[in-house]
Amino acid sequence: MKDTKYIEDRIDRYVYQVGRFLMGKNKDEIEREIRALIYDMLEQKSSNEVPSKEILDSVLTELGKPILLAAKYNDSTKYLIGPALYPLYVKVLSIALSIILSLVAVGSILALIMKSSSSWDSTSGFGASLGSVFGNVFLTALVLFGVLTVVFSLIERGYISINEFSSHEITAESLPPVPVPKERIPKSEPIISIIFSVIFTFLFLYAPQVFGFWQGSEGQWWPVLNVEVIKSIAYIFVIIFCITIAYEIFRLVEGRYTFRLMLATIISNAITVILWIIVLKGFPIWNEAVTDKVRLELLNIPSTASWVVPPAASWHLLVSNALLAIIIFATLINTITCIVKTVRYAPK
Amino acid sequence: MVSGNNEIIANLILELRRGTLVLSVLSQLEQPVYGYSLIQDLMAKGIEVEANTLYPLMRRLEKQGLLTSQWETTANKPRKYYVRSSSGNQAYQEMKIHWQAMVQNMNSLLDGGQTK
Repeated sequence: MKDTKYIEDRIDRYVYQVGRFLMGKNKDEIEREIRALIYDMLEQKSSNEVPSKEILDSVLTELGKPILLAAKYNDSTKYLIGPALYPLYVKVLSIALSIILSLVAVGSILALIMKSSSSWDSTSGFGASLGSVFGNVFLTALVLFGVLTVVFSLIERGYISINEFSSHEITAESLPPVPVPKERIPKSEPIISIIFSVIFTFLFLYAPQVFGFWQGSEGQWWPVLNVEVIKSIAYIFVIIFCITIAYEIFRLVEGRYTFRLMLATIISNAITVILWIIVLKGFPIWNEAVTDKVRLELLNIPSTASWVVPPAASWHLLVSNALLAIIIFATLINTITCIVKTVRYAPK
Repeated sequence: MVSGNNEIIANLILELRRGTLVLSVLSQLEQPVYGYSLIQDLMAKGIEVEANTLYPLMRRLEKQGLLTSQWETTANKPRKYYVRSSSGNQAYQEMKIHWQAMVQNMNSLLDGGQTK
């Protein structure tokens, strides 16, 4: 009697485990069927007597691990990222992750050097700051991993289309020409861009004090940015970072000038410029103490002469506008270059 | 090295058998049969198939419309009986013709291989 109870309990457990991995609406029926099968197998092996634990073991071994049995019932074509797409996924993931992880060393060393050479925030120890730097970069790597996985699983499900997966039948005519070197986008371009983007974002988020200058006579480091304000708008830099990374990865995968890459370039550049306008025009990102210092001491303008020289706010406006002009100009050049190359080289 | 080779051969034979499985199953389902008795029927006729392969296969064939099924609850144990549907009959007849042609072609291939 005890044995029967044990056997029933273990069958319940096995069927429950299979059920955990079953998909679709037929789950209950499949469970019922597996249960019936187990009883049939037990009956046959134990010649209608109460089966022993050993016999139950042999039946369960024959059926195999619950997860594998469930897999046989599930539609085998359901993948997060299928075998066709997987090699590309691994390639992009390994490039993106290796860049970020190799920058951990550079970034953390840089941030720590800056930290020890300046007077700000010396409350936390060396180990603690190293730990937080690694923690943050690990988080970045994790987010990148997540984003890439989501993007590829969307490609897998056809929500994002890439040429190689399009539903059109392949014809000799539809094959894009092999790009000659000048039509290709060298892999180094997006990779370098990703590296700079990572360094830049890393410094902005974790060590905005780095942007500054050293005044030997006073033995002091002067950050030009208002650290508090920069920290409060960190999310904007994160958005810019995500857009840049997504765009560069797209460029890396595309590997040549195409019209949709051109579209992506225009859109990502436009959004980035808008975000920079918001940052530079909407927030007091400059360190007022430094502006005053530069104005009064380095340029030798006495504090009484404020009627001669515009006040700090005007200086900030000037610097912001100049920076914005450079950003817009560079972005424009980049966009136009991309459009010209696309028109010239993209497969028609 | 040798055991590696044996494993490769074992896998190749398994694949060969797998290809014939649907035809084997369809051939036995003119009358309603439940899964485990089908396994034993096939085994008695020298066709070995594991339960964890056959059960999901029968569900798939049912989903494709080649089999229909019904739960039999009047006996002391509830069991699901499968039988060929009309499209299953048609598929079976066509597969049988293909199989016979394939056997013939394969035999001539294999015999040809031996004489050379």
